[in-house]
Amino acid sequence: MKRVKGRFEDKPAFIRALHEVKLDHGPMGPIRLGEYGKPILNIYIRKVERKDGQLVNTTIATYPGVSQFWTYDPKEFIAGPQYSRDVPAAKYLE
Amino acid sequence: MKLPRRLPSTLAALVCALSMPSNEAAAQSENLRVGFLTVRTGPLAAGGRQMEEGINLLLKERNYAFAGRKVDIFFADTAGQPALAKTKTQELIEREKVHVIIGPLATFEALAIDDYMLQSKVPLITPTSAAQNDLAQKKQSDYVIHVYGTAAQPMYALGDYAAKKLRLKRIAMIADDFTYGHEGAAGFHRVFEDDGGRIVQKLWPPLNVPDYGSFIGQLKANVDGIYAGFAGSNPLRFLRAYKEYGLKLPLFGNPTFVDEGILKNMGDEALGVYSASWYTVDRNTPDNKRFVDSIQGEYKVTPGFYTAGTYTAGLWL
Repeated sequence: MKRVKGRFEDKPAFIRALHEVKLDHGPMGPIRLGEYGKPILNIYIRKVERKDGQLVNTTIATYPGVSQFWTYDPKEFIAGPQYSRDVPAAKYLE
Repeated sequence: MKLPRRLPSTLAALVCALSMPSNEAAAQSENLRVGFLTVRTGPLAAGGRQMEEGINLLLKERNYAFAGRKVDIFFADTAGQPALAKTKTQELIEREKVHVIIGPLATFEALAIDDYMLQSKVPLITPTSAAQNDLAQKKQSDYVIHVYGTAAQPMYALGDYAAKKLRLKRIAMIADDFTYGHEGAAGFHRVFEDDGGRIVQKLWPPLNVPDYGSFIGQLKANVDGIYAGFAGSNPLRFLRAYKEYGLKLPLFGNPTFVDEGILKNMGDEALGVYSASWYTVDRNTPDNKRFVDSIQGEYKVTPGFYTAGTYTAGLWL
């Protein structure tokens, strides 16, 4: 809304602005949309502990700037099979 | 007769120039109408409450205005059902004439409204995980903005952590039998095996299974850990049954498995559970601390990822 100075009526500009948003503040940490329009953000690994009598999630590792493609090549990823019950194939079932 | 060539366009420009200010004034006086797809009934309602807390806090902080434009918000309860999500979305767009929608909660709801959002060209900002196999991978929609990534995205990191940091070799998987469950499990599976681990079992209990006993009874005991991908209130029921069966293997959960929204209802059975999420409450930054304090002060609860994601969807605007 700031980028379009509140003028959401200009739809193409509004949509474009929505894609250009980069948040560096806020509770989740830095977040922006990648070239394929999906967020690149931090992933937090956590472990449940009891602190002062309460169950809490304690952060034990942070993976910064994770994209929907992880470390895979985006083009190959998109061309590849869609995730499902059977994808990726389970090669080591016992 | 020869008409002066430039006249029509000059006239048009003149008319335009004259009418612009008043049009603009009228347009600027209109409020931004935000539709909000929540869940107030059914097994996913706890997440819906968190979403509403997130957006209500943000709107309150901003005095119900973004960039000088007043905001009207219209809540619609989808009950977490894809068909109802579609009906409610149509109502928000056609009856309430909303300019933008925030929501829905569940991936399969988002899938149900995706085509309609494309047709109606109303932007959707969703705190829901994107369905990899549809929204993210195959259809590039300019109108759908995801604050969270795909269901697989955090699970890549968790699979990596289990294999590389914890050096686990063999894992059995059990997850809800719907899109979000399949895709989260897929992300963990792929990276864990890329890193040298092996997935030796995959079980898919139905979303509304009355009892997890028969599934837990099938889980292999000769593994290093169990991946558990559950949503809504299912993690509570799964963990209780897991404890009743006396299993002690380390558990690896998706973002919804031990999210703060449900963790408060759990007991010792949740101790030691590993999970990965897009949000973490103890993130040590001033922004997050202020957010956590505000949610705790305002609603007497600890925020979870639905709360943070929906707040972030509001920040996005």
